[in-house]
Amino acid sequence: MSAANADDKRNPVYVSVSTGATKINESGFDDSLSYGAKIGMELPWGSLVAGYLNMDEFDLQNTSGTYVGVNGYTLSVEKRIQIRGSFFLDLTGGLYFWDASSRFLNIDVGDDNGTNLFIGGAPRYQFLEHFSAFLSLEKYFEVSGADIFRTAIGLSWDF
Amino acid sequence: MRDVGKFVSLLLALSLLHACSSSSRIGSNSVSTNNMYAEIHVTDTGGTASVVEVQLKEGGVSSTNYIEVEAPDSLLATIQGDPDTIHLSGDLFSNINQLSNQYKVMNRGMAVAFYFFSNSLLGASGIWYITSFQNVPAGTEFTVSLLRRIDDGAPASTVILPDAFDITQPVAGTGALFSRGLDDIIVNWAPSGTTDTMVLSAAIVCENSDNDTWTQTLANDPGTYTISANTFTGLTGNCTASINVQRSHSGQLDPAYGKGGIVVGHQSRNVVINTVD
Repeated sequence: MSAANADDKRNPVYVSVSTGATKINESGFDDSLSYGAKIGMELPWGSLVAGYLNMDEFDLQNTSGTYVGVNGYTLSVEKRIQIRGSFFLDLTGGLYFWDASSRFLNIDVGDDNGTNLFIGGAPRYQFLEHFSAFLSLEKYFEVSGADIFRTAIGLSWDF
Repeated sequence: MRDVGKFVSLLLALSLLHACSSSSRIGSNSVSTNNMYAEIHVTDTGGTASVVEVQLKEGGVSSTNYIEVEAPDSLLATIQGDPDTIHLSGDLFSNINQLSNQYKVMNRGMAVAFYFFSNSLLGASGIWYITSFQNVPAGTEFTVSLLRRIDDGAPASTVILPDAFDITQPVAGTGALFSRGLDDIIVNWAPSGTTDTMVLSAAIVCENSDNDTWTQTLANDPGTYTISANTFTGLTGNCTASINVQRSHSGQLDPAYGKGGIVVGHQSRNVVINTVD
């Protein structure tokens, strides 16, 4: 089956869930375990994708009860490129509408929010007609002053 | 230098001996702040560090039920003010990192900065929490906070670090040799004239293990005091004396400590001299 034929038969809507490690470029913080979900609609030029991403809490090392928590929504465009057979590469970029909250020794010390760019790529393997698995690598720029890197695994279901 | 080493060793041994005497340890989660007594010292010994030392006890000043701070409780020391007033509005990651440097979580340790230098190491028994700040100028206000969930804690015990001074006489080292029976020991310090309490003390340890201590509290700050000949009695042979001059300034203890306590800032200076009969 050619890639064009496969695309022709695919429902334009798909959903994905993912979980993975998020790492911040600010020293002194532990990695966090993030999880997210997104829904995409394929359009002639690519896909328009909306999602939710919770990066959970980045704990400050050696200081209990001290962390920054981040979660928010994404709006992005995605381009799926067929590499060979069932192997694809997703390229994505968009906006992350984030909210961050901080606690210092269990005291709420401040909140922050913003909208910033993110980019990413994800090798994808389609193992069933409507299901595929992926490994995504993403970078979120300037989330409350820090860049965040996310490595996640996930599953997609094409309706 | 060898004499100083022997002197330190003896004091540490006395401290350990005392620490092994009867006392009990109790977790903070089982004690309300209203039933706590707090002893807080902020001491600058003339180097680059100001050391904060805190001891909490269940009951009053004479209690030997020492409190071990358990999570989620924490003891904080800072020169930035009451942590309840912290408000971050952006760059949370870097700001939280800065907070952890400005608001220091206190860890268990030995209370040597105040008690050792003031020649009363026996008071350093029990459980102490310690942290230090570098290059803090005199006049800086320190805040010590007990943060907890079971009640409102005691977030704001404050004290100001007193004015610094130096001991100008006697001078340690060559020439600092006194006869205990014949020589007055004139202790001078400068600058002076503050309204703070001055405490002079000495601990003397001899080669034959004889030892003695002496303390004098001055209600004013005259800048000089004479330790008269024959103040140290019952000693024979060569002895090393550690003379401490301490300027102390009381602060405001958080009233949430229901059993009271003290919070005191100290400038503490030492000089070690050699004595003979």
